[in-house]
Parts: sequence; C-alpha cells; structure tokens
Amino acid sequence: MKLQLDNVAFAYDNKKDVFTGISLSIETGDLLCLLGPNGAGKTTLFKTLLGLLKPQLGQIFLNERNISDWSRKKLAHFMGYVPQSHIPPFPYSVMDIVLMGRTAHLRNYASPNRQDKKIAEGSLETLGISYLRKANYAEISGGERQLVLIARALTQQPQFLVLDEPTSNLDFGNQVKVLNCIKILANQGLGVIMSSHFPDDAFQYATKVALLKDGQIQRRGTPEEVLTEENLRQIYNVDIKIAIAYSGNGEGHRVCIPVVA
Amino acid sequence: MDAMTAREEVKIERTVSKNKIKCKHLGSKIKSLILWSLPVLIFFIVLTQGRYPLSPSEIVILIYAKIFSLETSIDATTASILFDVRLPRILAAMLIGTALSVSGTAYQGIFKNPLVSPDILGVSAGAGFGAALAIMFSLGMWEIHLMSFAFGILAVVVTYAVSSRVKSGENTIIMVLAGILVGTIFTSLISFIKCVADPFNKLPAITFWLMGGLTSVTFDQLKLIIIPMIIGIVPLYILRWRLNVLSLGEEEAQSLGVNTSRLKGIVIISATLLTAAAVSVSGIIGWIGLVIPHLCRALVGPNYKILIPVSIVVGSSFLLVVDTLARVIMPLEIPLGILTSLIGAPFFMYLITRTRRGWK
Repeated sequence: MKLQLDNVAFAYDNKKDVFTGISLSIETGDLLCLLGPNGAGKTTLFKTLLGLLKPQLGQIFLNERNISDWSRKKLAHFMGYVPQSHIPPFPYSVMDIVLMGRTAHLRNYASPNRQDKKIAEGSLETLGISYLRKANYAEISGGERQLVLIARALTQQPQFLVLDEPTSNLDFGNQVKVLNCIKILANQGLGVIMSSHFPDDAFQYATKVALLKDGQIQRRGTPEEVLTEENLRQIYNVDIKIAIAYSGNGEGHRVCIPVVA
Repeated sequence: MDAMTAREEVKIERTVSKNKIKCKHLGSKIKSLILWSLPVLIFFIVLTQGRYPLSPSEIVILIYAKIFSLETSIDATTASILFDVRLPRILAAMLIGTALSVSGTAYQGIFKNPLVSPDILGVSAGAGFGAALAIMFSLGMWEIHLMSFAFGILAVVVTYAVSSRVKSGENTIIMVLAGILVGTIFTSLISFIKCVADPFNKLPAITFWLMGGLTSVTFDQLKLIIIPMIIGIVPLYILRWRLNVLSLGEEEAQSLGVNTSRLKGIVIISATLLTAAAVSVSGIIGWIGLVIPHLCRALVGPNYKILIPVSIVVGSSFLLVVDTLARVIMPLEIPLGILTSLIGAPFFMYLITRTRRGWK
C-alpha cells in the first residue's frame, strides 16, 4: 500500500504558508523519518497528512485514491496517529486508553467487546507493556505513556503509523526502547512516518529521510544520501561531522557529531 | 511424565481462570443489582416520610387499589397526599437529579474539563430567563416550559457560535468563557424582569421558582418534561462509550475515527435538553451537575460506559434524598437550591483539595 502527498500546501487562515509544494511517498514497510528545525511545520504536515487539516493546494492519495472526502472512520482504518503525549482530564486506565484504538471498528452505539479487548491486549504484548494494563495512564512514566499511545494506534490496526516526535521528552533508555518497537513494527509491514530532532535516529532506524525547512522538503532519499555534513549544516545552521562507529560485531554505524567551537 | 503434569497444570489454570471470569461476571452483576436497587429502595423509604406520615402498608394498599381500580377503606385525603403531592414530587426529584447529573457528566466529557457543569453554557440562566419572562406575561404552564426550553437552547447556540468564531487552540476553554458571558447576560435580564415585575404576585412567583424547588410539582408538569428528558438521555446513553474518546480532545478523537463535530453537536443538544427540562420545572438547582459526576468517578472510575448509568442512579438518589431533607428537617420548607449549594460547594472544596490525579 502506498501513501502519497502530491504538491501539498497549507496555511492557517490567510497567513503565510506553513509549507508549499510538499511531495512525498511512502509504502508499507518503509520507515520515513522527517527531520527539520523547530517550527519547520512537521506537526502541521502530519496533521494535513492525517486529514485533520485541509490542505489549500495539492492532494493526498492512498493507493492512488484521493482521500480528501473520506470519512474520519475510513481514514482511521488506514492511518494511526501517535500524538505528542499529554495527560487526559480524567484518570483513565491504560487499558481504557488502548481500547479507544478500536473506535473506528465499532458501530457508533457500541463499546469494545471481548474480541476488541483481545486485540488491545495483543498490542500491549507486542510492545512488552502488558504489566501496565491496569495502571493509571496519568501516573505512568513518559516513556511508558508513549508506548501506550503506540499500542493504541496498533489496536486501530492501520496500514500507516504517523508518530509526532515519539522520542521527545524521553530519557536515553526510553528513546531506544520506543524506537526499537517502532522499527519492529515497520519490519512487520507497517508504513511508519515519524518526526525527530535527532539525525542519529534516522541513521539507525529509517529507510527514508526527508528534510523540511522553510516550508519546503529540501532533500529526500535514503539516510546515507540525504544526511550529509553539508545538508545537515543547511538544516540546523551548525557544523556537524559524520563519523562511523563500529559496534561489537564489527558493523559500522553512521553517527553525527557536532563540531565544538 | 513431565509433559503430563504440565498439561494438567495448564488445564487447572484454565479452569481456574474460567472460574475467575465467572466470579468477576457474577460480582459485577451483583454490584449493578445493588446499584440499580439503590434509588428504588430510597424511593420507598422516602415515600413514607413527610409532615403527614404514610405507613408502608397504606402505601402498598393504595397503589394496589389504584392499579386495579379497587375501593379501599383508607380516606381520600391520604390517597390525595400520596398521589397528588408526594408521588409527583418524588418522581420529579428523581427525574431532575438524573437530568442534571447526566448532562453535567456529558458536558465535562466534551469540554474535557472536570470543573464544568450544566451552568457553564449559560443554559440554566437562559432557561431561567425564558421562564421568568413567561411568568411575567402570565402565560400558562405549557408556555413557561416552552419559553424556558427555547431560551436554554438559544443560550447554547449563542455560546457555541461565539466560541466557534474564536480560532484558537484551546477552543474548549473559550467555550467555557463564552458560556459564562452568556450566562451573565441572561442573569442580568432576569434581574431586570424582577425589577419590572408586579411586586405583589409576579415577583414572589418568579423569585421562588428561581430559588429552585419542587414544592408544587404536578403530574401534568412531569408529563411535559418526560419527553425532552427521554430525547435527551437516550442518545447520551447509546453513545456513552464514545464520550471517552471525545474527552481526549478533538484532534485525537478525529484521528481515532470519530466525526467530532457531529458527535459534539448531538451531545450538546441532548445535555441541553436535559438541563432545560429540569430548569423549567424546578428553577435553577445548582451543583448537582458538578458534584455528582465527580462522586461517580470516585466510585467507579472515569469510563463513560459505566459512568453514565451510575450518574443516573446516583444523581436521582442524591436529589431525592436532598429534597426529602428539604421538606422534613424544618417546619418551614427549605428551598432546594439553597440546600444543594450548601452540600455541593463544601463537597467540591473537599474534592479539589483532596486529589488532582489526572487533572491538568
């Protein structure tokens, strides 16, 4: 399955365009990492992609079909969203939150049944957080909350997963845990689109990278093609060196090292 | 050998877990039975209470006789007290308690704000203004209800229109603000009506009605509010699980597959119907819509699937008890609105100081 953005532009109410001429495509099994400085419009781009915001120009296609007039329900069958986590106003349990992923599959008057609960439990198991099922979602750690939101998106059983900075506000260990989970999901055949502030994430996990700056996709391609010292300097306005680090088994990994003045 | 025992263990484990599920099922059934029998029990206890005590046997005989149109030896005054005074009042308390608490629970969900109540949309004030206007012009009971309802709806529509014109991330907060403003306008208009109303017969009627009370409720009035109540409560009950999703916020609910503007519209109209129906009979009874949802959350957790039925049960029982207290503790009847505020406000203070888990 293929998700395609064709020449998409968006602006909030007659203000300056947040972005224009965005064309991207991603297939199931891909892991696309979107990099860009603060305020580049990554979140807005995701919301447009998910149909939460209507683009001023351009179209979004799912398997060659324009999704502009699809219902919320239909869209939710194909695309799951993992927003930056926030605490809901009521003390829901983790299971309550994850079960809400079934919304698109339920009739309007229905609530989740045993089958839905099994699917939700399966998602928790996939991410290794079954022990959290009865915990209060407001009281677990940030990393756990991120995993719960991913579990909810999995419970939705979409083809594509859109994650908005899934590693922000997490400690190093939790970042690795969350990204490993995301990688496994992509290997299992989900199409993953995530934004990040760390080029290293793209080197380690992504199959595709896109750089967003000044309302345009500046570069796109494989991490090795796109993440050059020159391109990174253009995006972040600092000098960055790329080194190759060798792990225990002799495998080389590209890493970014900022140049210290 | 080992495989055998392992298999047996699995078998045992399975039966144990099956029994556990059964137990859990049975436990929740017993719980819901207790819960639903609570208002029924209170109903029968309260029926005997009052300035003119009725014995349980008298009540049973009278109801039996009424159903089968039989003659009884019990005098007509007793029968009249039961059927014309006490029964309609008790039913009204239960209906209004249900209406206010369910609408409060629903409003808190869609505005994802645990501190709002039916009053925030300005519905109570709007409905109050409509009824006061009708009383001033000496309109009939039907018109009082209708005006109260119409202005209640007008209040929400204005609140909704104002807040949706403000393009802001925190639209729900804007809506709360807009509701307070609309409420202020209608409260001022009510005060204005009080100024110009006839001080000898209209003003006392308006004032007393606005204080909130069920003193003179009749079966005819109940017949008038039962229809909007059913129209309001049925959609909320049917769609209740989705209120969970809505309480996560608009964008998250949309990405999970909810048509939020439609669902929000249905919920607002239903909850407002409930509030307006309650206000048109009993005047402005505050706090129920704020306190009961919290009490219910403390009892059964935040899941709307359970929360809505529980707020029906607890809301109806609560107002029934409070209204009975209002008519029996003192020789002079205490207006209900005063009592609910005196119970509600301190309870709410206790609530906000006690715990804020999960609140923003």
